[in-house]
Amino acid sequence: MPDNTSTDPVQETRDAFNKAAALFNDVLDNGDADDAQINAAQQALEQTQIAYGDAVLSQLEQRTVFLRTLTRALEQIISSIQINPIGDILDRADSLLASVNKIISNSGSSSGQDSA
Amino acid sequence: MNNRLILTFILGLFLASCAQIPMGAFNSYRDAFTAARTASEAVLTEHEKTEKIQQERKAAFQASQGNPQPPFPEHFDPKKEIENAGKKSGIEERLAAWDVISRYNDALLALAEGQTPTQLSGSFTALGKSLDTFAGSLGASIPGLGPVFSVADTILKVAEQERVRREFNRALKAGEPVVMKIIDFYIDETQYYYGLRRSQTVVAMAGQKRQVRNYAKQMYILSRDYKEPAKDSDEGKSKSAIRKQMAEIMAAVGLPANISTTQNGVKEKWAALEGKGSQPYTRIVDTQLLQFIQAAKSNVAAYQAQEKNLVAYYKALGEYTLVLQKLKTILETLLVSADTPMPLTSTAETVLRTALKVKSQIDALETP
Repeated sequence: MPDNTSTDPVQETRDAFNKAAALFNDVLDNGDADDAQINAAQQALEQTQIAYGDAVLSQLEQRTVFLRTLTRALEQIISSIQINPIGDILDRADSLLASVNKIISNSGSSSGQDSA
Repeated sequence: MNNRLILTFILGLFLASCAQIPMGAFNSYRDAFTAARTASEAVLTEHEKTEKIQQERKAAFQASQGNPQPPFPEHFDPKKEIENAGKKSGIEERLAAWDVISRYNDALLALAEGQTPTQLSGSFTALGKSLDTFAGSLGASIPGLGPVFSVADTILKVAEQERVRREFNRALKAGEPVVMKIIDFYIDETQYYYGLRRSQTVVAMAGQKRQVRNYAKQMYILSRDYKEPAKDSDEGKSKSAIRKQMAEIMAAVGLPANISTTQNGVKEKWAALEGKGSQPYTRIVDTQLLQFIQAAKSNVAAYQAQEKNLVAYYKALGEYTLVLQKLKTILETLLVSADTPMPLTSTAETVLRTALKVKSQIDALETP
């Protein structure tokens, strides 16, 4: 069965932080609120911000793994591009040229021997 | 024979003119990429600062709760140390991903501009000359050997252009979806950058607001102890001006104008600064109130600077996502142009302009 209770930790902690921020403002807006109440609201705000920050940083860390798979995939494509189709033909042409030059130089030296 | 050669040559030229790598679209994409990368590096570097602030905030919070984390771990974990050796940070990985795309672009460029068919045909011309020399050395001649190699050069040139074009297209089609996903990755990430930054700013602004509230309350309490001066007296006029400034200061940080304290069941508005005491309102009291105003003003300035900074950050991220979106459009155009030559509708110029704007906006930001 699918888990319908699973929540997004970033969303969840952000909602909690936003509620804490709204509560803190409500407390400040109330002229009868004392320092203890304000301190408690401010601490809740700090605490929820830390929790939200943790969730965001954890989410970014998870995303880094996904990015790594993408960059690896692109690296593989780059490697496949490095196989130069022209280079192969050029190598074959150069090799053929080298063979012909070798034959020419051999035939030149052998014909020189013949004439001698 | 000659007619056939001419026809082959014309065919070669025709093929060469039909199938070309879309260099205009490719150059536009590369320019847009460079601009987008510059903007992204500015955004990523800025976010790195936000992450660092978050770590410092967390450490400070834990310390304030009597639970400071020592700068050394409880246990030494050799496996973890080996795993972490040379490991890049999240930001470094994000910066490096741009580098991978850059290398992909360079590889495409190498295909487009690298090994030229001229170089190739040079080899075959040399081969033809060598065979001629060889035949000559044997005292024989091969009729038409020169023209045959000349045609071979032309055909090969066209064939290689086509081969390179196909390889370029293949590499482009293979890499494009991955590059698109990486760009989408950068676009999606901005929500987390903004979220974290906003939360830090909200906390910082809350601190400033609390300070202003404290000053407002102290002013209310101080005023309460003294008799209300006559409206048309110098003190009365001064107090009236202070009252106005106080209302402005409270409004600037979002404190309601009707904020009040209940005294014996009656609500007394702070901003009214009503004198309830019997002592006369003197210049000294006036000066004290003005000092509170000055102190509160510096908090208001800090509060507004935070607010402005966050608005600027939001705007910069907005422009940044537009730059990335535009880069995607230009890459899409390149992909389509590879099969069907088409006029460039999106140029890198607008991307470059917006990217530079993003960089200057980010550079002008202050830390929360």
